[in-house]
Amino acid sequence: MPEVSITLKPDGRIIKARAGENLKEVLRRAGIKMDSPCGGCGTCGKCRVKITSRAHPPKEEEIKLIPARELKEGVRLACLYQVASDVEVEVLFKDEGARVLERGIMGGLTIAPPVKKRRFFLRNAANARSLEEQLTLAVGRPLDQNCRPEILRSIARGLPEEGTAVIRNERIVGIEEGDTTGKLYGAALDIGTTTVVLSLVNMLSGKEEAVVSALNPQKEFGQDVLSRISHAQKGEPFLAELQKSIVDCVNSLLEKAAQKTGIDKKDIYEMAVAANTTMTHLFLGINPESIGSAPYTPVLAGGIDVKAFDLGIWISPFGRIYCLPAISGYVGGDIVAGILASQIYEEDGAALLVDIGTNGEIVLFDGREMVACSCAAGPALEGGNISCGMKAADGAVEEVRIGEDVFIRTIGDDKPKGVCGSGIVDLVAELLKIGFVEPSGKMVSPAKAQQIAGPNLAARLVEKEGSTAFVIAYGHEPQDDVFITSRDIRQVQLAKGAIWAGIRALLEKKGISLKDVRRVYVAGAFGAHLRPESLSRIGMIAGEWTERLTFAGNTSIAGATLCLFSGAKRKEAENIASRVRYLELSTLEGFDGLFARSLRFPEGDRPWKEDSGS
Amino acid sequence: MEFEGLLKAIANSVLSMDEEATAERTQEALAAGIDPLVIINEGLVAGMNQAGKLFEENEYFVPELLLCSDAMYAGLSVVTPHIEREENLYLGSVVIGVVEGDTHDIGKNLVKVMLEASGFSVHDLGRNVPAKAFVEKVREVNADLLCLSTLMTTTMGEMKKVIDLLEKENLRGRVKVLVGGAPISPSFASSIGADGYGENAARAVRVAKEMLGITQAKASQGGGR
Repeated sequence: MPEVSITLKPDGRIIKARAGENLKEVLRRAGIKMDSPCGGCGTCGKCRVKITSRAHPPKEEEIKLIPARELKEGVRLACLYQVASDVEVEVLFKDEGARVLERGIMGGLTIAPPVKKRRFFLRNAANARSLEEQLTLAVGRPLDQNCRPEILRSIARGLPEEGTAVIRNERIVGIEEGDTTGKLYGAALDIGTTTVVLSLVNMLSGKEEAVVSALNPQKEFGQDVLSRISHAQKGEPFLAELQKSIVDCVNSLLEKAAQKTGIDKKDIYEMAVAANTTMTHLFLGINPESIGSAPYTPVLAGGIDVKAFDLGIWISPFGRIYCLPAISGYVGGDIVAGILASQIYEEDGAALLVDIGTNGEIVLFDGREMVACSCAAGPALEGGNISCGMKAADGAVEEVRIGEDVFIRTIGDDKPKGVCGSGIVDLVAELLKIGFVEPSGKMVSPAKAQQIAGPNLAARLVEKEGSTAFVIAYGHEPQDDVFITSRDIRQVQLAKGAIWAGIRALLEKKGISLKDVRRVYVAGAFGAHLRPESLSRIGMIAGEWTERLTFAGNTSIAGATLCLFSGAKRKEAENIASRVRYLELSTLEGFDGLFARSLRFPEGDRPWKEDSGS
Repeated sequence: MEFEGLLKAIANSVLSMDEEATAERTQEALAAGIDPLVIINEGLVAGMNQAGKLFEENEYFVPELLLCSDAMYAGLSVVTPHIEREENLYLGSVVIGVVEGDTHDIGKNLVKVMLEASGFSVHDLGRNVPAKAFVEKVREVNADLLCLSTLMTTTMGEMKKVIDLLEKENLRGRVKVLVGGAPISPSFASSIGADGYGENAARAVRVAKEMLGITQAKASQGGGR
């Protein structure tokens, strides 16, 4: 194949590629990482580039996703572009940062970490028959069987007269020179499909020293778990690539936390990880392929304790990592962590835990036992697949009120650039309130708007991208407007319908009525900046739950922290994971109809009552 | 003129999701002596087609589409006993299913309803269907069209397996293949050698008719059930 040159604008850097290669692949190889929520399927339109030399004619997807004016200027999708000859390229969309939710409610914290330190003095055990015995007598604990050969070799290299023993589960796992008993740190880790959060804690006092976060770098292989699985499906090198990507990320977060606090990474002895089932598999280098097709059985569901060095995580050489157990392929350790942290099973009566993301997970406690399901909500509630949707980053509209006119608040009080998840829910709730969106989800016509609203509001209903749209914020030019279209409303309906249908399926399964649900915990980044009334107004939760709602925050990191500090909590996690029953919605009799009925928005401004949904 | 008004009323009652009115109007049309096939095509199916059009324009959504189809079926159950000859009722024969490894079938079910409503004879294999089962059914019913659906990125590859197997069994020339589902794009469809891509249920029906060379005029003359 002939070689071609790709000139990057504006800096003029030249990348070599083979003719016929995919442009996104070439750019990725050159270290230019672009958001690729759809994993390179040509459906999300995020990997836009401008071909400043002669561009190929646009493909069908591009005509749909890119305005005609930009097509004319040579804007194309990198994932669909085959490089045939020399080209000049300008990358338009680069990674954007995003606000990450780093804390959550945490019930029942006990500090009884499985790892401890103990000071020893060899002179206290002078007449032993071996150096090993001298050490174990001085410490008062035996060697851990798995670490024994390693410790023996280290003793042979020289046993300090006095030192500190690292003890795990009452067995010696390592020895250090001098007195290091004051340095005992641990890290709780939440590996989400989108974000990764690490909390560095003092294992002696329980104090959180630092919390740091990053976007999951695996996002370059696709936004959702399925696209990551698809990548791993291609073979070992691709799986290795995914694992390295997350391991590097965790190491750099550890580094960042260490620098922030002046704590040495070598003084971190224990980590606990909560993640969805696919993320846990990838972190451990286990191919998650089996989760990607029916019956969605994971390779691993139980909790697992591994040596940090074996994963390439550079903490203490005696450091270990515990990954929380999962309930099923689509209800993972992050949800088990959420159950632990919210303690819904301690509730006096029925309680719900709802974690909202691309996949929504729901757990219902009926007063005696728990049942869980997962529903494909799609990316709309995270700003994906929405005309002006964006992540919760600076400039995202996060709050909307509509009175005489529209009032908005953006993250960082920046100029509005788009709408994030909480803004989208708020907006749809307000549009329902003023009647611009009907309970069926249909947006009214501009003519109807003039009859039901004042001129300021009515003027905001316009034609955009071939459908009716509501302008949230005017830009200098019409193409800079931030708006929501009738098609976007349908996407929101699909997302809220999936979650509401999941909730109702669990309630029906357990014979629990809406009013019997005492408490509803909404977990995840999405909930944090949301008004409960907006959630019930769009019918994602029942109207009577508005007052019983708790935004629980990042319960994944909270549950991981609980397990970090306590072996008993780990046992509890294992117990929960094996006890919670999983309900597969896609094969559930009658779920079709339930889903269709759950798509409607609640009527009028009456609260969403039991009978209005069916 | 009166005929036209009655047919229009049937179409309208389907479009307004009114089962009872649809059945009543259909009864009236029969009593007025309108040919059952005309009632189906120019009344019931015409109403459903209008619903599909509204769906594409974001006026109607999944629940409305399902309610319209309920109304249409209510009319059909009144009119079908009056049809004398069974042959040549259909626009064509379709095999549909969700590919192996995937159990999400809501989208597929919607396409099925729309295809039936448009006058196709539909053989639904359900979800998690192995490639071999698709091919066998295509041969058995001598299908004109094979519709493959998947919601998951991880099972997209199964679609190609089905098409390759059709090829191997020398059936590919006899049947058109239409693919759809959340992760599917037109480029993917053409890269695996499918004949068409259905972006949503209403569009799928339109593409299916185009692919099979069925014009609107032909549909209302020869089609029906």
